[in-house]
This record gives sequence, structure tokens and C-alpha cells, in this order.
Amino acid sequence: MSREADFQTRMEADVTLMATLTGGVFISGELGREGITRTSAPTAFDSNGYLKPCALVRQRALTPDLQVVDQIEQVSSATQVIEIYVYQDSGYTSIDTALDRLYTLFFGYQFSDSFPLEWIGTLNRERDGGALDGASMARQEWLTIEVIGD
Amino acid sequence: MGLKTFHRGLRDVKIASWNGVNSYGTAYDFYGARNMSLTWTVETDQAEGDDVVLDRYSKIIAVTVNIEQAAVDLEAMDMLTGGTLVSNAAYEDLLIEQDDNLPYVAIAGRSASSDGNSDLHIFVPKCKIAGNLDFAAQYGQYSFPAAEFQGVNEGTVNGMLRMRKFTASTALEIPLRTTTGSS
Repeated sequence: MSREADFQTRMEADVTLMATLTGGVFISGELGREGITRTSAPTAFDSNGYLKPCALVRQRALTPDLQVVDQIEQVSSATQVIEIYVYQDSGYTSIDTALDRLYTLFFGYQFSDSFPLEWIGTLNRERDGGALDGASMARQEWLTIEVIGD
Repeated sequence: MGLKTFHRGLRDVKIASWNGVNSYGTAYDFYGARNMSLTWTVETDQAEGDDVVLDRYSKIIAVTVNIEQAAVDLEAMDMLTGGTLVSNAAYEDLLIEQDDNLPYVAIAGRSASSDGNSDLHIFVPKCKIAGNLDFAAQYGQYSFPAAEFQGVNEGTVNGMLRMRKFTASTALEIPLRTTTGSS
């Protein structure tokens, strides 16, 4: 399972968060290059075609940090940034609610193969410049640190 | 045996008053723990003769513990210094006087592992401030109270230092838990 899927699983299991993100949680590995669209994620839109509050999780590259290395055992520590994009059609009320809940869900949380997550930052009050064409957007970033091969 | 795990960070530190061998007060959370570092104090000597070292004497005689906290917590300072803490709706007041005796306390810390399970717990059962207690308020900087302790041998139950590696995520307690989990 990919790290972005780990995040998706935890998010979808949280009733409080999903009460806000009624459009669902998606991961970049399952969507096309344009991300959330009416074609790739039809459940993210209501019957009138408006975007419902939703999230897209995207993982960046896994990068060795050279802190822990054992060449014989093929062990190496690595870091990876996970981006959670939160969208709504207009305004930021649902986005703000979701961001607060995401912080609670992930700050210090430990997956079964990682150290506790570290919050990198939150970029809010943004607008999507891609396929969602001006929809309200925020991005929260998390750092995962793990030891590969242990 | 020989659990090979990697540990990173400091998840939790607790302190408790030391009442006697394996007897402690209620564990108090060291809020915003930033650092817990240990140094084994080793007494050494060597016998020399014929222009070489013939024998080495080495013995661990104590443990030096340094802890640092992100929060300015007067209750924690009171436990560590033996001062007098008064609190009411308007303020908390810590008074340290010349006749106050620095008490023995127990300190425990917890570090998470890379597999999400193998918690490392470190326990210094009996220690006392042995260096300066530092506090600084500076422009543009957080204040991080810090102190240095010396851990002494408590007895046969917990010795002067105990390190326990659990096979599952485990809550930090004083004395250390004997089972995994948190309840």
C-alpha cells in the first residue's frame, strides 16, 4: 500500500472528517494527471455539477536522509512528504473545518512502518489553478520518516 | 532477544517524586519535552608498569541526566526543586528559598521506533538536580527550562538506570509498565 493510501484509509475511517468531506477522499495514484475532475471523480460533484468538499492526497518522492544506513542489511532511513489538498466550490468554511480535523488525525500519528508524523505546514486561502478552475483550496503537508528494510 | 530497532525523537517524559525503593508519587507529564539525554558516569583507573598499561579499572557509578522542556511549568519546577507552589485563580507562584531541600525524583522517557511498535522506555529511578537549573527569556526566542540531574543507585529493584524495549506501543508510567499497551 502506498503512503498516500495509508493517509486515505485513516481519513476515510474518521466519521467526523468525512462528515465534512462529503465529496470523498482521493489519491493521486488513482486519478489522472488533472486530478479531481467530473470524469475521474464524479462522486466529488453534486447533481448540479458543483464541487463538494473533498480531498486529494498526493505523495512526493521517497528520499533517503542517510541518518540510518546498513549496506549489509539493506537498511536505509528515508523521508517523504505527503500533501493533502482540500477543496470546496467556494468559501473556506468546510476547508477550515477539515484542516483542523486533519491536524488532530495526523499530528504525532504513527503508521505501522513509520516514526510519528511531523506537520510541515498548511497553505490556505488558495484557489485551484488546474482542472477545478478557481475552486477554493488549501494544502496541508506532512513529513513521514521511516526506515526501509528494517 | 536482541530486538534491532531504530528510535527517533522523544515522545514523552514523566517525572515523579521519589518516596522510597520502587515507591513513587503520581507520575507528572513533562509537558512539551524536548530533550532527555543520558551519560553514564564511569570511574576509571589504570595500573601501569613496564611502560605499558597492565590493568584497567572501570565502573559505572552514576548516571547524568539532562532534560529540557518547551513549556514553562511551575508545577514541574516545584517537583524538581522542592520549592513552595501556590496557585489560585489569579496566579501560580513558585517560591524557592534558601532552606529548601532539593528532593530525589524519578524521571522516565519514551522514544518511538521506526516500526511503530517497539517503544524504548528509559527510567532513572532516583535522581536529584546536580547542575544548574537553566531558564532564559530572550527576545525572539522560546524559553526552554533545562536541568541536569545525577541518578544514583536506588537498590536492587531498579538500580540506577533501566531501559526497557516493548514489543508494542506502550504508555509511559513510573515505575515502568510490565505489559504492553496503555491500560
